[in-house]
Amino acid sequence: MAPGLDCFQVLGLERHWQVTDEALAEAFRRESRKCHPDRFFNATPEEKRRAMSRTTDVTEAYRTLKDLLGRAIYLIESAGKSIEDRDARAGAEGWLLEVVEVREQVAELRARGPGAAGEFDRLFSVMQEKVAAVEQEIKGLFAAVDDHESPAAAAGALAVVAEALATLVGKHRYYSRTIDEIRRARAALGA
Amino acid sequence: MEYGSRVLEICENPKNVGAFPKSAADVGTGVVGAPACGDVMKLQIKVGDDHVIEDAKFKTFGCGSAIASSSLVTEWVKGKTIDQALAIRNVDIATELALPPIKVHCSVLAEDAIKAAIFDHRRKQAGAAPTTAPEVAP
Repeated sequence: MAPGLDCFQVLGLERHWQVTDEALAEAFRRESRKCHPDRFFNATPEEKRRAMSRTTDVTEAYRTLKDLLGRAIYLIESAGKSIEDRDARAGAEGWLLEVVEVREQVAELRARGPGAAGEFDRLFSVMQEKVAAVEQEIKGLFAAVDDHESPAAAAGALAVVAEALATLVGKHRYYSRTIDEIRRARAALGA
Repeated sequence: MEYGSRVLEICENPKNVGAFPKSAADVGTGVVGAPACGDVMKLQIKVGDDHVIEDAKFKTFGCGSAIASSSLVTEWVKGKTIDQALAIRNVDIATELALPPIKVHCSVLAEDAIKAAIFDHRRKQAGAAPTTAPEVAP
């Protein structure tokens, strides 16, 4: 994503992290219309160039915010943090070990062959529940930032929430990756 | 993407794949991951009373460079003292494997994993021997 792009401002929206899909889609249509090439048919090259660059920003902002993880990563980066922070990974051993263990199980099941289908399905739903729970937690954190009345209080909450979100985004990635692995192994059984 | 010959060589024949019981007092377990790609790495060391790493094992679920990096580290740390193992830097791993810049994070992961394993072992030792004075300045 373009650094420094204010996704909400570009879409003409209030800084509201719980923004609905409908509100986002409407904002995207409205802002896209404003910089549509047809409206700049007789414009100067400079105006045309600006409209084009604005279209890029609007598309980028929409793409970022409409994706739950994209929005979470945007929040994290707005707070000056990164999901790659080594510190953010340090405390992760407990649940990360669980991920390793599930991956080990998948490898063992794969070796077991067709009889493992039921076990794959069980693991699959366990992991899907975990992903759903992480998504709920992410939404809960969005709500926590929105609930602050003053911008200053919201900024304070943002810094705190960003750390927790970085862990959640990581979890989501590890869980999704594990689900991909299970799906692939399950498909290879041919059952 | 193309892997270097050293990475391919290790991937075809990785050393020290496996596990130790993670609750054993002389075992340190390090688990790390790369949130950007979802790779996970578990690295374990078995440490003697003389603080020498007797054996090391790993399980890595990730790309070839991550597997090669962790395999290499388990080979390197065997026979080393804990302090020597702590001195391993990701640059050494990346250089040995000729990792391209885009894969350097795999070597960072391996460095983090060995550190995490050593800290886990230390934590266990501190817990097992409560008579040891804590390393905290007054």
